[in-house]
Amino acid sequence: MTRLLPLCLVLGGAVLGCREPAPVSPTPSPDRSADSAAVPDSLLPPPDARAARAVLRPFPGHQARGVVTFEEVRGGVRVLAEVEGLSEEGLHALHVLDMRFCLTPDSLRRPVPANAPHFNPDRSRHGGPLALEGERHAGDLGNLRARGGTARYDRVDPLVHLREGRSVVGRAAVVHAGQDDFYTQPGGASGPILACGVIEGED
Amino acid sequence: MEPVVAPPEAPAPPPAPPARAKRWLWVALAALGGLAAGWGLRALLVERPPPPGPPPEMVRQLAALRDSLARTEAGLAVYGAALDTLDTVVTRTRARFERLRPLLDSELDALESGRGANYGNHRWAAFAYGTPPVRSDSLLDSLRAVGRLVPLGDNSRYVVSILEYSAPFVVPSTRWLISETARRFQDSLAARGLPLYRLIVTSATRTSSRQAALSTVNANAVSSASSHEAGVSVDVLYVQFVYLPRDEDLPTLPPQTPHTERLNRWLEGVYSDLGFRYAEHLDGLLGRVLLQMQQEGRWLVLRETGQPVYHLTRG
Repeated sequence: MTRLLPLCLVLGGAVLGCREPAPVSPTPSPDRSADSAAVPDSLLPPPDARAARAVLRPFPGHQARGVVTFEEVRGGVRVLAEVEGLSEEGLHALHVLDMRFCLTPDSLRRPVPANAPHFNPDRSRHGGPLALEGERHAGDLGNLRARGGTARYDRVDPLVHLREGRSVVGRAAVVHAGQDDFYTQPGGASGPILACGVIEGED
Repeated sequence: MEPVVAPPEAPAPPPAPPARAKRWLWVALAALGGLAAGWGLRALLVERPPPPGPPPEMVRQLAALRDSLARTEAGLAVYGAALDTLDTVVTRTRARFERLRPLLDSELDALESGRGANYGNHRWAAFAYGTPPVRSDSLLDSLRAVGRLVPLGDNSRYVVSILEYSAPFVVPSTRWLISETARRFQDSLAARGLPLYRLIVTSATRTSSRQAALSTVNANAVSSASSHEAGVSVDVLYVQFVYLPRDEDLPTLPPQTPHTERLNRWLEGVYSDLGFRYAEHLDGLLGRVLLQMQQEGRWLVLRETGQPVYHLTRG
């Protein structure tokens, strides 16, 4: 028995030594309030807010900024967006992404890519905002129409939720440079992102 | 006396094989003959093995190919039957659309210049049945809080498009009227065996500031007080309708039809397109529903021409 003990120790040490070292967490960035992607969903507080808000901040090289508010009403959630700094005249896609950050939570702080997936708890195809459940992503909010660089969007959306697993709270709302064509899969060919903000509950 | 000459000696005969060796030779020859005869008999009597066929892998491939061909032929036959069914459905639906009558001139006159066309009536009704003029967002929120204004969201009767100059709220009676209008419209479609379409609401309650902003881009929008400011008016498109998918609109395709779901999606796309193509015919149905409701005193109807909408105010 005493002869086997060193052998077991050697074998055990070899097995442990073969394992990959644990990843070293990056240096925490100074502002990580919007970087909840690093936290698993199960550890996040339940997103049961009745109202929520996203402050859209411009991505580098763009001027678009604004606010999107979400409020539970009978028949859905009222989505009210007011954005400025857009093109003089034109349509700009408004989406909720299946991402919990606008800048990557690593030390590089890269903007979320334009082809990031839309919030889609139903695993549906991409579509327009008037499409029925199953024919659009919950994050497909349609287009903002810019006039003189500003746009207003007001609509009660039956597929947007602020509660439980389908909640948009904690996801990123974005405005694109181009219009959503409602059929190109999976993103609507909307072009680069102009502005982004993580939706935060207000209750 | 002649000398006697001795006759020449005959050559000595070869030595005869010994009798025993000869016998063994015969035995060997007989054995060889027996073997040859047996071999010949075996070749004649024993069944010959089949000639070597194609390799088993090739045989399997040929069988699979034959099966695949049979399945393809069967599938094509099923597809043909399914396409025949779909073709019949589309043709029949198109014919039913054709039979829907667009609005007559007299009906258009009634909708454009009848009792409802007097915009003063709309304003009078707005301030009789509606809320106080919604001058600001905070007043709108207050009216919502006490239930004077209720949200207007999508359902199986109608959809509300993205609003730029108004908010998706109306008084409860207006919301009920929109639903009732859409119900009658859809009931008329169903009675004619047509697919159902939803109405599109394009404007609801406007605050005074948004009404003023709209008047700068829309010649139809009055810069002064509008019935939209009282929460009793909505605008409904008459050039576009949204198809409402239902199982009843999908035919029963032959069993075993592959890709049934894709075929059904295609058919739903056709129904959507027919809604665009026959918008004038659908408008005929909607216009008559609105005329009837105007006669019942439920709606004041104004069919606008600058914008392709019905301006509807609770009557």
